[in-house]
Amino acid sequence: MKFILMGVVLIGMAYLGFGLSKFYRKRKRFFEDMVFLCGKLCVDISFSSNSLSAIITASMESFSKEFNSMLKAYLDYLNQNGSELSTESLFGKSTLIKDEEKLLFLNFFKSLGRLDASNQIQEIQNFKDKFCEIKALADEENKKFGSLSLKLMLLLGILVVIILI
Amino acid sequence: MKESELAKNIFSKILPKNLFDSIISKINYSQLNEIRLRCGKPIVVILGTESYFVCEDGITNNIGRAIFCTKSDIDNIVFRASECSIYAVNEQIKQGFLTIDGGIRIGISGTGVCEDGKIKTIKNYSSLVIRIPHRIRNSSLFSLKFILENDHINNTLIISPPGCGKTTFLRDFLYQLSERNICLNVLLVDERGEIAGNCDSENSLLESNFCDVLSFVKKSDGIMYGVRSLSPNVVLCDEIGTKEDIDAIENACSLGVSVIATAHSDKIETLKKKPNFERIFDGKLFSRFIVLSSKNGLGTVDGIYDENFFPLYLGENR
Repeated sequence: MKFILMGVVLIGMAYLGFGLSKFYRKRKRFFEDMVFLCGKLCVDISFSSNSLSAIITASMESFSKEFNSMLKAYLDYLNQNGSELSTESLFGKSTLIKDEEKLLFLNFFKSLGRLDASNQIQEIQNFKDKFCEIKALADEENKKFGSLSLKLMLLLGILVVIILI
Repeated sequence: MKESELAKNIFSKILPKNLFDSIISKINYSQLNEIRLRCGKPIVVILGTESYFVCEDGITNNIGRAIFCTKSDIDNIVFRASECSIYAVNEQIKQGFLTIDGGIRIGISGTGVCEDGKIKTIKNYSSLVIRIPHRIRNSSLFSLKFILENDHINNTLIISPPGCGKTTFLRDFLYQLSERNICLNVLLVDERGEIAGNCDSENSLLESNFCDVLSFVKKSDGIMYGVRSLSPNVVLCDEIGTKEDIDAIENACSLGVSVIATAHSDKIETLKKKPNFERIFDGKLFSRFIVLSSKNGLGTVDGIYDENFFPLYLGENR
């Protein structure tokens, strides 16, 4: 019974550690996707002048699940007259993104499609710079805490097992 | 798709819900010609040739019951009409209009943003005029025998003040040719996209089997390009007026292509005084002039004249 309990604690702690490390990886990927989307929007707006929904739909395959779910919410807003854009509609109850970051995303999406091409590209570029800064931080966090959290939780698990012995 | 269903489909995507409910659900769509929205003012619809205010129950003459238009209504309509992508339609907005599915044209007024003396875009939209096209079957039927003689299309200029059915005439003329299986290749240069609507979608207004469409290109460029690459027998275009338009028409005529065009004016005499038009009249580019009015409804034929302005037909009310 004791050994089973020790096994459960070890697996549980490892799972927690893995979850935490995945969280940082996902955050990093989320901002990488955003920076990529900004670049894609700039290029497509200046060369093809396609509509936002056409550009976004065409690029969705290359993004992560979390990022796609935000884009789907934005596409719903684009396709549904009368709908409102909010952090709730974009992110639901997701905790991957901090509240102030959610506001930045909201402002970004609200600014899309409202200007002529040159100003729109400039606006996207300004947002892209901000997203790049957050991406660099997320990258750093991932390097610092991503693998560390897995190791720490495993160590914590071993410590609990030793105490149990 | 039926015209009213098509309209419901299109307007549900652009109009705020309260307006959609009042205008599209409670007004006879076949009569609806224009919706005028001005910031802070009552919304006006033009049914036939009469103006009314829009109210919750449909239309009214009582301003107290009218629905007033807000700035956000106007902004949202332009945003939605551009498929949420203003940058994609800025070339149209710069010229003061936006054409959406079904050939519906939205005239836009606001503050022009200029750079190097040229309009870069329009911002702070203050009013919109939504013009709704209708298919009026056989509106060109009476004039057809004057345009089409011995399997030859006479170069024809259709003249009328705005809103009297020039565009509807062209649309029906295409239908009449197709209906009679007259296999003349027609090139339609649709600068504002309102004759054919979106011809690559199911909402196209075009009813012709022999027509190629160049949409949203300058008439002069479209005629030159189309004559070279699509070898048409007939070129159709709306609202000519600039020197470049006349040059392009002259060029097309010299290559043996027939031209049917329209121009804004109430009568031939007024048109003669307009700059650029002397060449049309002196050079006898057109051999038929059809004058339209809305006296007895949209597209009433007031008169048909030959190249020497000899009347071939004068309207019943003369």
